Amino acid sequence: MSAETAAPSAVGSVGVGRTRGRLGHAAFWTVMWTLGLGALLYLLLPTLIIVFASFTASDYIAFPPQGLSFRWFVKLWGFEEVRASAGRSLLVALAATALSVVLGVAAAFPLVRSRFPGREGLNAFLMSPLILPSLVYGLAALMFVSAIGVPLSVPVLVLSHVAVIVPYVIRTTAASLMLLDPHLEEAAMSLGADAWNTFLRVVLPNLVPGIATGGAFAFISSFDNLTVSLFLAGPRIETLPIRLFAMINFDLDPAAAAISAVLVILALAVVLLAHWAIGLTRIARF
Amino acid sequence: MTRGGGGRGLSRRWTRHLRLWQLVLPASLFLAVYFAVPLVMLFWWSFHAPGVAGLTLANFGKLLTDAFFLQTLWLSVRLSLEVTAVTLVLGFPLAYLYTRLGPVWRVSILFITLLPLLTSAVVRSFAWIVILGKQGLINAALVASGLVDAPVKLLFTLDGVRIALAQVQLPFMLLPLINAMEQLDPSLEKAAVSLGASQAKAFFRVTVPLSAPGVVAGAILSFALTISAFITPAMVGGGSFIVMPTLIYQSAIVTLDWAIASTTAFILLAVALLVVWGGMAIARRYRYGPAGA
Repeated sequence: MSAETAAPSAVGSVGVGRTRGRLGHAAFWTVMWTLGLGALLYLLLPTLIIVFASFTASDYIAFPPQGLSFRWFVKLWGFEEVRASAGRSLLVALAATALSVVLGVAAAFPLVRSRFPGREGLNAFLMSPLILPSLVYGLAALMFVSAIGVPLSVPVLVLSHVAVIVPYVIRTTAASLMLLDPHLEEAAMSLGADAWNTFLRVVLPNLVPGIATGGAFAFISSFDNLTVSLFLAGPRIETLPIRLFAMINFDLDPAAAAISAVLVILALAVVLLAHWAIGLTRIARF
Repeated sequence: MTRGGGGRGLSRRWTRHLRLWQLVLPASLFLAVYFAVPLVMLFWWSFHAPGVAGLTLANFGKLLTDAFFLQTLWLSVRLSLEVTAVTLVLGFPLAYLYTRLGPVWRVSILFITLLPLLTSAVVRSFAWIVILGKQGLINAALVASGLVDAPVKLLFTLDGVRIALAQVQLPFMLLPLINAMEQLDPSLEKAAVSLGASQAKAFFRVTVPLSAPGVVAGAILSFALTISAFITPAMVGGGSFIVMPTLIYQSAIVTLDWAIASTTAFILLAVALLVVWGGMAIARRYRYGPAGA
């Protein structure tokens, strides 16, 4: 409640005015806190519910849950299709992240450090996959791939994921690069380091937190991606989100809740990594 | 000035050494081929109709005179506006509290904002199915409290989709709001209060107008993402109604009519761009002279 003390009470020389001011003051903060805490609960509720539901002991999801157990997590491991699709998603996400990091880190340098005509426009272009609805991109990419006569395959899926996730890497790397004092590079070079040594020993170590965070965002975006994969995975390449989507549309299986809980833990890991590497308050400004 | 000016000579040498600007080429070429060309192709498809030689507006004519299509378009626009309004009403007070609270609160708020943002949309929609269902949390609470006798139908209704979508989009409203409101000096509001305005009046006449750029940015993002949301309406709506993204998916994958699918996508993008453009126009007006202050 430190917020209440932060704002001074209304000035009023007459007692009645002061009481009214205080009342209005209290009412204002009551409304703010009610809406604000409501919003926080609203944001958190689905995550809490799905994790809670995954520990049910019964064969269906209901509230309140009938007993708690780990049986659905144990059972999950026995589902051949779930394991196969999870492995495929992991492979696609790792490959797409690795490619995105290479392309994204390289692109971030000139976008921040050098001056060339059309830099602003190029930056907007490289960020545009973040704004374009991924469903529209999925459709466009499917049309493109079939027009050039390439059959749907895992590499094609990986490339389409790269197109959607590479902006995350560019953005976080560029943001860390902007925070890095160019004098550091100049000092290294004036002390005799060549360009590569400056890059590898001075610049890159300072960018690791930004690159790691961007890479983690890219990884989870690819791992969780459904809309692009729906178009480009084809009937034979089943990723985990496609599997989960089909499972849930079929019925409310606690196994689906167990998969969801695992995905929530993955998201938790990414948020914690971002906080540890850069700090959430800084991430929010990127 | 000294930072940029002093080291310019060295900076230039560093640039030359690494041939720096060329590092942007791999990513740019990749996106040009694998992102821009497919989009151009999508637009090209929307101007072609089966059995018609050359470019044609037949697809647009067909869709824009179709009552069902117009109804779907209107539903999508209305839904997106409603969801954006809900995210604004809930997001603004939270962003305001954020700027008035200490570091522990700030990190907690950001943590709770970013966690759903990084959680799969499939998982979040599934959670809402569980919450909104007949045996879900909301109905269990309503029945237990005696407010209703029988469970209320929320799942597979438009209301259910509104509730789920607003939660999914709230982080996109919150982050621009927080960024904009952090730039404001809290002493502005204090000054208004010390000059005799009530706290509420100071809030509405000082903080709200000055936060307009954040509101516009958040509203644009929230609207554009809601109108193109596919997963949540499909899962929580359960096919009881159709929005624009459902239409795109169905014509592309089910009826295999790529011309109609791409034309629908084109119209969806055009509507989203129109809103973005309108929002920017409003933002510009605010920048040159805040109205209502």
